[in-house]
Amino acid sequence: MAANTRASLTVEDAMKPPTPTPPRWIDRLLESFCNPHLLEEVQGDLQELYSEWVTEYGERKANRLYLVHTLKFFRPFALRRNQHSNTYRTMMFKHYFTTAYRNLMKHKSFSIINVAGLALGITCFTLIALYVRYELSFDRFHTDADRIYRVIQQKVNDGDAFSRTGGAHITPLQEIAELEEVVRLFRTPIEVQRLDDTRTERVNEEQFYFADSSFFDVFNFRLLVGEVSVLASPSAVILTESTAQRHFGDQNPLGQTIRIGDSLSLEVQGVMEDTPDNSHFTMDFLTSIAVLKQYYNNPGPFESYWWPWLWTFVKLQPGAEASSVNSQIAKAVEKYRGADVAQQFVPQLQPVTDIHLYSTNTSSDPSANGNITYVAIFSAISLLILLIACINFTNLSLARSVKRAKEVGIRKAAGAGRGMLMRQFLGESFLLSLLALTAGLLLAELLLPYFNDLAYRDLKIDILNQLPFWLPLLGIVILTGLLAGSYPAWVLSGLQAARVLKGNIGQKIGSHQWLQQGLVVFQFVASIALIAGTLTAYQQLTFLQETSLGFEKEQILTVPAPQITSAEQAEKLASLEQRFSQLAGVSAVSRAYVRPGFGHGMDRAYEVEGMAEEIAPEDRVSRQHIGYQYFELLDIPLVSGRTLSSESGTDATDAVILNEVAAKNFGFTPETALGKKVRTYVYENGQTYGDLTGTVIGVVKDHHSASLKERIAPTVFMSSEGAYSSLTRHLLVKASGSPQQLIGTLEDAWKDVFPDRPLNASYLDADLEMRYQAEQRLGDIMITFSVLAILIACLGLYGLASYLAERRTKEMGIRKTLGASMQQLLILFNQDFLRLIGIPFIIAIPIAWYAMDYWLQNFAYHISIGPIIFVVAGSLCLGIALLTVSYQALRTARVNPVDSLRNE
Amino acid sequence: MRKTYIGELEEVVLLTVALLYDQAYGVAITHEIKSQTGRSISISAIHSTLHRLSEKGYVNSRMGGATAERGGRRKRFFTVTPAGSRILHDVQQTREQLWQQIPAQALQWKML
Repeated sequence: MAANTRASLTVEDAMKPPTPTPPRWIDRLLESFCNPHLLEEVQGDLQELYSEWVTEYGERKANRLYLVHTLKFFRPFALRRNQHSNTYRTMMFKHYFTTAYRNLMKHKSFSIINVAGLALGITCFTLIALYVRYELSFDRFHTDADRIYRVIQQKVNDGDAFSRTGGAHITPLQEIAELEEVVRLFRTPIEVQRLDDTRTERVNEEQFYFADSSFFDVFNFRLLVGEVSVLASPSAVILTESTAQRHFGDQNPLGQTIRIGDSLSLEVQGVMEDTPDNSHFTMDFLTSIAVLKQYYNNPGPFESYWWPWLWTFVKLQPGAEASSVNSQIAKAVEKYRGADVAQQFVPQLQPVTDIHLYSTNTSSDPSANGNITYVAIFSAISLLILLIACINFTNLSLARSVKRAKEVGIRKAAGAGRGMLMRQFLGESFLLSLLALTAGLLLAELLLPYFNDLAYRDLKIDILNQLPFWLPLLGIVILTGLLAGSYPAWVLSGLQAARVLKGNIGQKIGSHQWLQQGLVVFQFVASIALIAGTLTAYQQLTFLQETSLGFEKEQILTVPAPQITSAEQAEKLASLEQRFSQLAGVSAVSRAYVRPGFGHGMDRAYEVEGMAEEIAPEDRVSRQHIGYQYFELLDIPLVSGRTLSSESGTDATDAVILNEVAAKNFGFTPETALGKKVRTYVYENGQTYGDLTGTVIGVVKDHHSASLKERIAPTVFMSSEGAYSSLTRHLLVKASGSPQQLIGTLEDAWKDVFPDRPLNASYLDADLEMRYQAEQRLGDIMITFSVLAILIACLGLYGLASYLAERRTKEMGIRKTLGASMQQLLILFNQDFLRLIGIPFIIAIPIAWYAMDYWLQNFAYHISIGPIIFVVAGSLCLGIALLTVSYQALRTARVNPVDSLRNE
Repeated sequence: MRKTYIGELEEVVLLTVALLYDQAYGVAITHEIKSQTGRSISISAIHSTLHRLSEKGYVNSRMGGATAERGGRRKRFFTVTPAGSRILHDVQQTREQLWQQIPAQALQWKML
């Protein structure tokens, strides 16, 4: 077509080297849809670009680009105008629409059930898929996310991992050529105060970060104002947009001064964009590691492999192999750190994109992490629900299509070909499924706020920007439509018109019942498994919340203690404690390094006097520091000896208390342990750190000082009193009455001692419950969606029952005239369905048992799965199914036989 | 006469057509926009915009001679019509007017 308008080539053009030719089929494609009037210029331009692409990117990419850009011309202005509109086709098309519409209207309840079921399924799937997608998206927004890794330390002794590393790790890391960048990141809560005329109170800022100057080379956070080099300055700070807003309102934050801690002033020299929600750390303030050194009054380089305890990130050179870099890092660290320690704490690379879902030790991560197991469970649930819904849709369509045999007969008699009938049926069910898709997505949009509450997320539906994500859903829905339509399309269209019209088709149509029944069986397997799973999850949750932790958690307030760096501050702390204990309503006050329930304490190597066995280097013990009345306050019983006492004089520095596990591990009974010397320390490069020795004065009963996911660890308790005051991180205050009323009085006492610091008291029991937030969420989501799954499955059963009831109307009528009672009819009808529930019950048990057992392995302490759960789940399903079926049966059985037998 | 407005992309394309005076055709416009503003706009979007501009009467076009790198196909060259030139001036004037009225402090620090 283009050839006849083509002008002749000049000689000059002919002399040039031959231009590359794009694939012919793409040209033909363009010719097929492009307006002939525009074709020449469009094709010319594309060809010109093509030759540029070939020289720039090579032929393969050029071909791809050529195709993409050709397809982009598929827009209204460029399309061929259709001259001869096919009136016959449009008429038939209209006719099909009319028939489809009338059919829907004729069986309203049926249509509604059909569409609603699928729509509901799509809604569930959409919501969960959004959630899963979000969970998987963590930290992927960095341009080079695939090259960014975090250096973690794998503990050889118990398989656990530290996500943090000591500051000195940077030295060996910098020797490795395959690392493009290394950055250390540290966070600590810091009291921030604005320094200007309207000097504000100190605000405790949790998200205060310190980083090396390479931070912005590794991570892609955008600086809105200021220079990246600010991070090298020891007196500058960068704020995020919302933090700047929070502290300075509409004022220009640049050039403002804030004070952190007691004396350090920082100038705001940059504003960065807020960290996205799907970043595993949320920043409010960012400043240089150099500032941290001043803050901790430690001007030298951070030379310890233990302190400060920070996150180290590396960016690999393009093309570098993580596994080979891994072993290089291990070697380099070993060289500096000494083989004995480096082989116990093996440095390892963890992809930054794995941090959110695959971290095992979440307590040392900057924010609560997700869990890949939950993501997997949710994905499985959402797929199950979608599958149930699709099966439903197919099932109901099948049931209904049988009734249209007569229509097919008449159409055939009137001259409709098989192809036409197929197109009609397929089109109809396809249309219905698209209707369900639209309804489902709308419903999802409507329910999203509630779902967000349930999942603690801020998810959004944005179809255009998430296109690759939604296409599979569209595919599944189209497939369902086709599948549901294909049976009637194939079988019905093949029927002989004469036979159909005689009403002689029962045999042939009945043959697909096994398919329907198989589908129903599958639905119920899924439903029973979901119910059983939900019940198990709830039982475990109740177990977690109700199991005695071995200490009293009620009526206790915890207060983070200010950092103790001098004897003067230690005095202040003691006087604060003194004042607290004198308040009315306070029954006891004590100190702790880690709050009870939130961890075992510091991980330490140990030596014990008189211990029979040799101590292997990987044998560790946890060391927790506590105040005088700790065990009394928490109601933890003594097994032998005595607890710490302020009267003894030496307890502050010399006393050691063991828990039962520790005493047993050391090879003592609670009685023989008394009086033994225990030394706990960290050993490295021939030096020891945190080396403390004490004499055992008592053994206390085992209690869960970490969450129930962990076993009780052997623990050595030492004091955080007197000379060890700096090891106080929290004050525990036990109320004699209601702790709510106490907060106000505590605050007054606090203000007297620390006038410009905020008090952040919280309830121990509430905080403890927060530890199982993820599990709680899992339970909530599971219960919601298993209810929906049952609902959808019941819709399907209802449809199937109504179909069968309709087919057996005549049979029921005859039975009734012959004297069958209502009960007999009901039993007869329900019999078939009972079998349909029985089989899934047997299949569902092992599946649900296996899945739940897998989940329960997350917890060191868990329930055992009993038969009760399955009995309950089974009878619940059975009950619901019987109700559904009986409703239909009753309707059929109550019909007057005169009516049911009359029409033919 | 009803006032016709022109979109941002239309404005950029129209300006580029003017700038490339007599040499403005699809590929050349794409490249010019890319080099001047850094935006990569697909050739189909350029064509579609040119189509709209010519429907609004802001550009005229003629077919040029054939070249080998286009497989012997001719180029369609675009030129700005008087109406196109007027709308460009209008747009510039409106902006000028708005700019001059903005108080100095309005465009200083504003976070949100």
